[in-house]
Amino acid sequence: MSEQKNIDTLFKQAFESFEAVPPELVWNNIQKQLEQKPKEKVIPFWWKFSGMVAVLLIGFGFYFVSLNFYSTEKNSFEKPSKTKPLYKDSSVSIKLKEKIVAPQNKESFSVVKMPQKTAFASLEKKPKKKLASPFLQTSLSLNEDKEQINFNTKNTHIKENFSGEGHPSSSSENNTLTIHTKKIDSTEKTVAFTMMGELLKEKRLNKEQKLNRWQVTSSIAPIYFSSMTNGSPLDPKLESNPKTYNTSFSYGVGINYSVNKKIKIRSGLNRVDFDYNTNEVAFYQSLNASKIANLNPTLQGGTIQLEPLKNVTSTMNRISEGKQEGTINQKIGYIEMPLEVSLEILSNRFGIRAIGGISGYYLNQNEVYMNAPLLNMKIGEANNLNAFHFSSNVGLGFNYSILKHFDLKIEPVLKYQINTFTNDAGNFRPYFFGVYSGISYQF
Amino acid sequence: MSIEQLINDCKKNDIKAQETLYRQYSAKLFSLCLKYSRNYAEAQDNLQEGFLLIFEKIHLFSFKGSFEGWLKKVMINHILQQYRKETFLSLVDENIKEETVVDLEEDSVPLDYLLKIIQELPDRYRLVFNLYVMDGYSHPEIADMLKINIGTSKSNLSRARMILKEKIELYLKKTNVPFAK
Repeated sequence: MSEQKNIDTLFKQAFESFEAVPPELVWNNIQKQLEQKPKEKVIPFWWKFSGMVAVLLIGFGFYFVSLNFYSTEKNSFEKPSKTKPLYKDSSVSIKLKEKIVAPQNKESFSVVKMPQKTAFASLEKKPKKKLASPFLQTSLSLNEDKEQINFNTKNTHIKENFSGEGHPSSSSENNTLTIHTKKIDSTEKTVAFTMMGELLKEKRLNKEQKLNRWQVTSSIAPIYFSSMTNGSPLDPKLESNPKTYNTSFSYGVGINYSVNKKIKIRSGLNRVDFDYNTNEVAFYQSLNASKIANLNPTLQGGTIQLEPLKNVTSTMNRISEGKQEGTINQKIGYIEMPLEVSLEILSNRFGIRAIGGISGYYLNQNEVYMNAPLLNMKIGEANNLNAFHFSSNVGLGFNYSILKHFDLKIEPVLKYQINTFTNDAGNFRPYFFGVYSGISYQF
Repeated sequence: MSIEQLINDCKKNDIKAQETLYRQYSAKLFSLCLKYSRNYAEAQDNLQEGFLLIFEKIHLFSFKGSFEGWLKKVMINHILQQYRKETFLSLVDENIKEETVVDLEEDSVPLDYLLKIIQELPDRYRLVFNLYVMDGYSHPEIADMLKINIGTSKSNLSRARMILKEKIELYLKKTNVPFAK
């Protein structure tokens, strides 16, 4: 034994203070790679965001194009339709005022001032209604009749006046009469205009309603995954271990169908990944490792024995027992198919809507990794994940119309997972919050 | 600059701090690499890759225990990982007679030669010998790290000792230095 130790001590002593300065080349290589690495890391980061940035840029592009588009459209379309009725209004009111002035002048001579006043009062009211109401024709014809009736009565009154009083009054009455006839002509013309306008508008509205039922959308969303409770779906032992939930991304396409002006049914397909870490895990490799409760281990993963770090009393103990400190990373990926209903709360150029519904999830990624300073090893896959599960979704949608057919939208939606796990989810109740942004195109 | 400050700067990927750290520890870690590797070139490669791994994982160092110990551990594990890739560990293990007596009290053998004969050992013998003798790991730990049986670890060690002893004796014979009992 003593001799055996000799060879050990010989080497130990010989190498105790052995240091060898490596050639400078090694550092140069390391430096090169270190300088490259951050760049490499930046690229995937930007790839993730480039989609969003592109969407925003395209969005803004459309926005500025649409600004010009809208302004030219306004000049050609809206101005005439808006200003004309205004014109009409003023012309009518001016004439009405004239009318009122005329009878007031009459007051001094005529006995018939009262009926006239009421007649004018009715005139004054009705044309305004005419312009506002869509039931133009009937009300108009009625008004016209009334005017004419008034006219007739006036005429009779005038005649009375005429007979009762002298020439000056009659001449003034004649003046007012001519004004009236002119006025009726002009109102008839304006009425014709407004009718045309309204009809065109109605046609346009009908067209819009018929054509705009379908809408396609693209969306990308940062996903904030978390759990309502601090459980662990992997193993009950890890329930109290701290977890960190990593932000991931969801992207997809959708289709909306407008049931009516306010209600839309939405569906689509999204790709969504979740990813979280169970921290402070002590582990070591052992051939008779006890199985992690809800894991189908890989060959290597089967030899991993783990326990919460807090069960290991000190770092010294951990190291002396040959245990390493690490984190368990679970990655779960799904294809999501939402089925939602949205209800418009505000629908101008800027719109707000409430969103509610469910999503179905088809499991297509299931991996569990052990991460430690020297190790990034797949240790297996969870065996308690349902191949298909649901979530209930609640959210708000905001959209901003950038072109006739294009909307920018941003929709924060909370999705509470219902049956992610088959049996024991280890008190783990996951949900995620996504801020879906994108562009939608309306046919 | 304190070592804590240096580590924290390295965690922020500060290249100057990384260089300082490298300058401070590369000689120690290179000696380790030389012992664990087959030759000088492989040791260089291991040092390079190992340091890159150290910088990558340095954020995981939580100031518990010695930093040098942590560095060594990362480096050793990195080297073991290289051999794991080569799957030599599945070598059929021979049951060798244990307890080889090595009669040697001489320390006039130059370091270069000692290093050379370590490097010339078959891979697993070299790893077991280094882990056990140089870095004080126990047989169960070595068995765990190399995914072998404890018995295999023990027999590998004695086999390594035997080979080393033979080579030292050969060297001493060649140089005609009589070695005392």
